[in-house]
Amino acid sequence: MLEQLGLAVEALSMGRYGEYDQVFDMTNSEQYPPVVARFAEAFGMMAMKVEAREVRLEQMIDDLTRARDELAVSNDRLQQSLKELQQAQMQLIQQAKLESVGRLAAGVAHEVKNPLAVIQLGVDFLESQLTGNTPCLETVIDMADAVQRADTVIKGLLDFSRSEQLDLRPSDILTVIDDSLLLVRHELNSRHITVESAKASSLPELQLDRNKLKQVFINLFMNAAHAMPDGGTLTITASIHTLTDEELSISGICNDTFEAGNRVVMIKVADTGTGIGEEAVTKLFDPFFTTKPVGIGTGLGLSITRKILELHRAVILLRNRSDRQGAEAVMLYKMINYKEGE
Amino acid sequence: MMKKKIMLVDDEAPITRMMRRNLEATGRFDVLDVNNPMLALETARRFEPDLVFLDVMMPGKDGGDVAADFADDPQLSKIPIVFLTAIVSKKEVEPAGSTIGQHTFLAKPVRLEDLLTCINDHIG
Repeated sequence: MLEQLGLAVEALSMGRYGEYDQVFDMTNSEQYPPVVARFAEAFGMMAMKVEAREVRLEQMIDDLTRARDELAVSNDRLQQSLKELQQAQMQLIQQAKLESVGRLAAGVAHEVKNPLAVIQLGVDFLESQLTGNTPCLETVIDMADAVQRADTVIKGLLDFSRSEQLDLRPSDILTVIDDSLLLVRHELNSRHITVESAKASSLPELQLDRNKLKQVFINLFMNAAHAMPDGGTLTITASIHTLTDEELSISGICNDTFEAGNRVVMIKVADTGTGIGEEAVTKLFDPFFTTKPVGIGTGLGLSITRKILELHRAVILLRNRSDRQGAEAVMLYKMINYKEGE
Repeated sequence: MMKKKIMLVDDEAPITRMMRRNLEATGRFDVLDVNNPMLALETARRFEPDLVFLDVMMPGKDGGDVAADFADDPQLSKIPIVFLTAIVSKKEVEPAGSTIGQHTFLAKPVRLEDLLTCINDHIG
């Protein structure tokens, strides 16, 4: 009897539920002394309660584990949403900034051109009256140069404020690149910059505003040239590419135009210049941000470039080359209605 | 040789003054400047210019309305008008003026040599 009780206690203490059934046999008061029978009954009831609690506890642990896993998944989703929201917010801020600069630009351009016209005509008049007076003439010529510089900035502002409308036509982007190169060829030659191309022999036609896109390429070529004051190599590559998830996340492309698996025309313009400084990376597309010496850059080229590309539903990324030998601009144009083999 | 008559219409007096000084300094032109666009038509009837330089954005009456008045006036309808304006950039027009629609436009700030080329093109 004692041995039976001992086995039952051991089974219960080890959590081997179901092995103490023999205790219930001992509840028969006709076979066992009444005190033993009552003890066996109380013990059996306690054991059943313990077992039930154990089962509930395991169930609770399972529920908690599941809830924890679900929370982890929700947390990941929230983190991702937060990241996307932050990116969207940055884009909205950037867009609002560009829009206000655009409005401001048009107003400023108009208001500044009239005084500039007065100065320009005044300079022309003085120039005609000062024949023989070299110091005065030189002063007037310096003033004329200053007017031209101010006019260049104003022209940039007007371009910026007017880059809203596009004249889209099916066009060959390779021709646009070649035409743009022709326009800066002299500038590149004078800086001892060699041009290398690795372009696909043909690419599908894209809906492009050829003139505005020429402005984009000229901006990029000239930026590359300014980054190579002692000469170097400008490399242009153009190819068809399939976007991967990784590329989308690394590049931070966050818009509705692109998703993984999209076939895109990818254009790269790479230089062998000094690369992009860390402090400049986040400001490159800000209006009036420039790393060029005073009088060389208006700080509007890249803002205009990005605005034009956004209107083409294209994106541009500027980054240092993976070999750290300079910087590159990567542009992606989505191919619409494109079928393999075209 | 008879001097050509040039009329300048712009609400900004310093601009017309500078243009007038430059053009008169060549010795080839009689120049009259008008800074109130409401007086342009009446002044032109008296002055009988060979060519008019006309600003576009002016308070009271814009250049387009002034040009329309000239076109409706039998005495003035044949006079060539060149818009001199800050609302087009030099990139959009040739240095010595481009034709947009039926009119020639010159972008401010204009250089004297471009002004003279434009005058020659019209009444040279």
